[in-house]
Formats: sequence, structure tokens, C-alpha cells
Amino acid sequence: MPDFQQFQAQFARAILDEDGSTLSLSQALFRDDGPTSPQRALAIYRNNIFASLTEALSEAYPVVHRLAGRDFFRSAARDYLRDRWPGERSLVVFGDGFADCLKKFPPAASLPYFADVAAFERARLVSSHAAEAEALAPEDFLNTPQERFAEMRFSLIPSLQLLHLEWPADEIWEAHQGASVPSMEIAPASVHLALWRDGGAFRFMRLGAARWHCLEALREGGTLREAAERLLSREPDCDFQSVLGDFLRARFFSQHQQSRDSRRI
Amino acid sequence: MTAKALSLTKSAGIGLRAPHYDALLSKRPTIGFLEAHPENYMGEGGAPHRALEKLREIYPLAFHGVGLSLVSSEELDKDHLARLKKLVKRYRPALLSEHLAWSSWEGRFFNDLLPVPLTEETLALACRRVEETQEALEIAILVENPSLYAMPRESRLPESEFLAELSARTGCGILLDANNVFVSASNLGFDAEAYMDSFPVQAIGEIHLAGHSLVEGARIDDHGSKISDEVWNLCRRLLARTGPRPLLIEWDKNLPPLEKLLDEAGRASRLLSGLREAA
Repeated sequence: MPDFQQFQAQFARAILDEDGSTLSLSQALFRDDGPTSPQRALAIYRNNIFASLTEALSEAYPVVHRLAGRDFFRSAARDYLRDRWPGERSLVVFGDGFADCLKKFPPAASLPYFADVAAFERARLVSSHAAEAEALAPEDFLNTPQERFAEMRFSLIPSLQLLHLEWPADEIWEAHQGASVPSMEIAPASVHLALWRDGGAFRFMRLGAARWHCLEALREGGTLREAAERLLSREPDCDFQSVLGDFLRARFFSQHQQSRDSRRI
Repeated sequence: MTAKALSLTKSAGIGLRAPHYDALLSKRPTIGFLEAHPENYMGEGGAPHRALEKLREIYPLAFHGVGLSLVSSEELDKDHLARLKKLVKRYRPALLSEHLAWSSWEGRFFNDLLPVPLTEETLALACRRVEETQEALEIAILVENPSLYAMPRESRLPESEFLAELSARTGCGILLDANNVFVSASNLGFDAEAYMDSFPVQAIGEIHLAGHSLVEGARIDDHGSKISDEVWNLCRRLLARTGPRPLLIEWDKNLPPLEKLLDEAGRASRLLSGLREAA
């Protein structure tokens, strides 16, 4: 199929226009005896493609889009597509790495919190499409002997995302959920966040550094003992049992346990 | 292998979009069927699956794929096909359609339906890809005519002939998009009514209706507005030859409230009732 293969290769090259060849390729691709010229036709395809991918990105990052405005966002999207054109044919979780792209995007240099808002929205998107999982409840441990706790490991529910940011992206995100654009003072603040889905609802909360690192230890596959050490190294007076109770009540632990854990509850 | 043919109620349906989930579930309006893009359900869990599980209990469901890159010189994406198959098994749609188009090249997904030069060679290729798809999914699919903005230089076969032959050789059905016929006819300079009159009607399993925009003389298939009178007329003309077929209102851009979509579906539904009364 050399002719069609060549047609597709030229078409793709013209769309991406990395070498400024769109115009010359249009004549090779299309007939010029119709009402719409080859150049115009190719421009329509290009525009449709970039507009649809920009729109998909703005749907994944609605607050960044709102903060940035249409033109700024479109230009950031162009930058993003240059580095990370999508490969997946489903755009459900499109937009991976947009926060990193914003960090390097020169016009965003004076708006350093954009990247953290993007990281927050990314975590929210991933969380909202993560697999369903039944969570463990505190009652599930009623018959577990005390001495087994220390070496137990837990799987976190798939929707749970842990984020450490330098800006209060959670507050900025929340302030932009209404119809009116709020005026707010934005100052740097280190925040440790958990984002997850409870039933159908999206939830997030600030954990504090010690609890966040404790949860992170469990996510990495550590035992409860290791998680407790991580907690107590930052907050020696903290009551690990009560922290664990909070995590259980927030339904962070999945009933599906990690395979490397030979012990079951 | 003859793939199992599916069929859908010959009524008027609407495209399913996430902002309408709640209104559909709470109001449960009368609709012939819902048509979902399977690509929107390729996440692991969350709201899309929760909604679709409930909606399929209320309405017949059609799947309209937009990401398979069906007619391409590159091989079909086995992972995408596997995901599609998983969704077909889970949701049991009454129809599954895709396009006479490609959308991916060398690992890049363009999120658009790109043109195929219509030749004997690409017809043979399209047949192979449709057969591979039907074999993988274990059902017969429908293939839709795309919107075109100019004629690929190497095209030799009329689109209606290409699609009729594709259907005859593979057993696939045809999804005829009346708006796409109008858009292509206008951009390429052919007679849309003559296209409709000559189209072999036996294979048509569904008809799509959508809005388009007119930008500096070119018609853009953007699914962002009401269906134009010209497209309604083309649809009426075609239905006079086909008899009742499932009619689908596609409106994805500038998404209106559900009621407005239902108005358009009501109009389509009255077209079908008119045909039945006349018969």
C-alpha cells in the first residue's frame, strides 16, 4: 500500500508542520478543482485537530484554563503538544505532564502557582477515573491479633492520590468552582494533600507533612511499623493508632491487599 | 467468518455526553436510544461507568467509535481493539459503528477523522481492516462516511460505490451521515441529492444528523448547532427510499441543555412516524 502509506505520512507531516511544509504538501495531497482549495482544506484539518486537542486539555484542566484565559492556554497547549502529542486513542486521562510543561513555559514564569494548580487538577482527573475498590472499615480489624499489626501492609484505594505542592492549589481550585472569578491573595505555602473518590464524590484534604509521609510509606508498600516510624520521625508525640483510625474512617485502604503480603486479615 | 449482525430500534436517539448524565437519570425522558463514544469509557472506573451502567438499563445503547483508525496502512491497534471488546462484552451495545477514516499515525493520535483516497487498493485494505475488527469483536460493525474538505488527489472511486462494495464484501452495515454528505458535497462540489438518490440503501443500518458551520465559504462539520434545513431535507429524501432507520442526533460542541437535544430528536421521531403513516 505504498501510495496510501505515503499519503498518510505526508498528511501527518503537514498537520504537525514541523518543517513548514504544510503549504507545499497540500497540493500533493488534494485535488485543486473543487470549491475548497487544497491549502484551505489542510488548514481546516489542522485547525480542527489543534482545536479539539486544546479543548480536551482545557476540559482536563478547567481551572488552569480559567486562570490563564483562552489565548494564554492555547499557547501553552501548543507548547505541550509539541513535547507530548497524545498516543492513546482515548482522551479520558489526557494531559499527563502538563504541570511540568507549565513550569518550563516562559510566559508562566511570573505565575508559578499555575503548575501546582495543574498538578492538583491532574490528580483529580486520575482519581476520578481510577478503578473502583471496596474500602476496608475499622470493624474489619476487630478479630486481628494486636501482635500482627506491625508487619501488615495495605493497598491504598486506586483513586487515592498524594500530592506535595509549594502553593495552596487546593484553595485556588476551590475558589474557582463558582461562576464568579474571585480576587484572592496567592502566597506560597507548602501543602500535603490527599485526593480521592468516596462513592461517586471527589474529596480532598490537607494531611500535614507527618501524616502525608506516613501514608506515602504505605503506598510504597511499607509495613505499618515502617509507616509509624515515618510519622513519629516528624511528629514524635503523635498517636499512630489514632492516625490509622482516621485513615480507615476516610476509607483509604482497599480490601484488595498487596500480593506481596502473605498475611491476610 | 460471518460476523453476527446487530440491530437497533428504528427510532430517534441522541449522542450521550457526560454533562447530560444527571438530567437523563433523574428525568428519564423518552428517547429511542443513546449513542456513546466507547473511548469515553476507557477509564477504569468512576462517573462514566456508573452512569452508563444505569443508563443502559433504561435505554437501548449504541457505540460509535472515533479512535480505531480503521482504514489505515498501519495495522489495527490491538490494545485499543481489546479495550473496545471489553466494553462491548460489558455493555452489550445494540450497534457498533466506526468510520471510513484514519486518526493515528506513527504513535500519534490526531483526534480527528482523516481522509482516505478511494481506490481499488484502499477498498481491499478497508475490507481487510473491517474483517479484522469484526473478527476481534465478534459482531458486524457499521462504517460511516466521513466529512471531507477536499478530494484526495488519488481518489478514483465514488464514495457511495466504495461503501456499498465494502458492505457487500465484509457484511458490515453502513452508517450514513446526512450532514457529512452535505458538508462534503458543498466543499468538494458534488450534488448531495444525487449522492442520496444513488446510494444503495440495503446496507444502511443507521443515519446520523448533525449541525455544521459555514466559515469563509467552507462547511465545517463541528456538531455544534442545530441541524440545517438542507440536511433535514436530505434525510427525508433518503428515508423515502430506505424506510424507517435509527436516526441519531449528534451535538457535541457548544453542548445545549438536554431539552434542546430532545427537541431535535422529537423532530427526527416525527419524520419516522410520518413514514410509518404513509406506508
